[in-house]
Amino acid sequence: MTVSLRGTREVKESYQLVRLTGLLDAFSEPTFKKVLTKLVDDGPKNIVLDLSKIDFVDSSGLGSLVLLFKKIQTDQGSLQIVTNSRVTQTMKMVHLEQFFSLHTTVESAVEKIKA
Amino acid sequence: MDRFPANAHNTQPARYEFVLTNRVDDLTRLSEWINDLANQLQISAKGVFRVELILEEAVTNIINYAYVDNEEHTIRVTLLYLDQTLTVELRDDGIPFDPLQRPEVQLPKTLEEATEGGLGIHLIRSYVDECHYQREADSNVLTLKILNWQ
Repeated sequence: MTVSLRGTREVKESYQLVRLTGLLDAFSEPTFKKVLTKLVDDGPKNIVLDLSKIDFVDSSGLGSLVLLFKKIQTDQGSLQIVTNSRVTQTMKMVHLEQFFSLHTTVESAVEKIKA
Repeated sequence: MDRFPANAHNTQPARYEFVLTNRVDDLTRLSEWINDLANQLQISAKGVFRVELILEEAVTNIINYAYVDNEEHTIRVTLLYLDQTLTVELRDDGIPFDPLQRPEVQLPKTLEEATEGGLGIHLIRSYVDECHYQREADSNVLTLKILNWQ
């Protein structure tokens, strides 16, 4: 089976850091949604999602990010997204960047959670 | 990858073809193909991103909406490239499905308005200079053109 999205997870005291590489598209999106939903349920509810090494995100991936963001808000957590120019550009094309908390570094995202 | 290079006078476009099935895991092969091809043509990262996105969105639409059975189908992607103009043709044997007839999505003004779907055709329209659909015999043919692809 082809694997287009890979990830690692580090659990800290007040947040968890999820780093992803590869493609967040219509193929990987169902797995992304399932796994991230479980991670949020397991806690901590504050998530730093590192997409800086993502090669590509399409509208399916963006849709999953919207759902994830809404879930985390409902669960009274926080989603901080570390992005790159490709991901940010796609978000801007559909006006989603205004809702997400975007960062260029993991350190900046972690600081936001601790603030 | 089949390649039919341009003739000596470069009046005919170079032609590249890729065939995939209507399984979403074939999107990964599609991504690899377009990245390899763009690298071969020395296309910029921005140009690669642009065509990869429209291909993924267009093929995903076909997979999601053009088939009413559970059979395996073939989707044929043809690229024509001449003088920095890229013409993308996607041909499938699904039911008549014109993605360009889908209503223009209202971009969200609030997070509550943001939805999980419906953004793909907006992204396609945003990244191409021309788009056209026609039904040919039993096939859908979607043609997308990018000017100044480099």
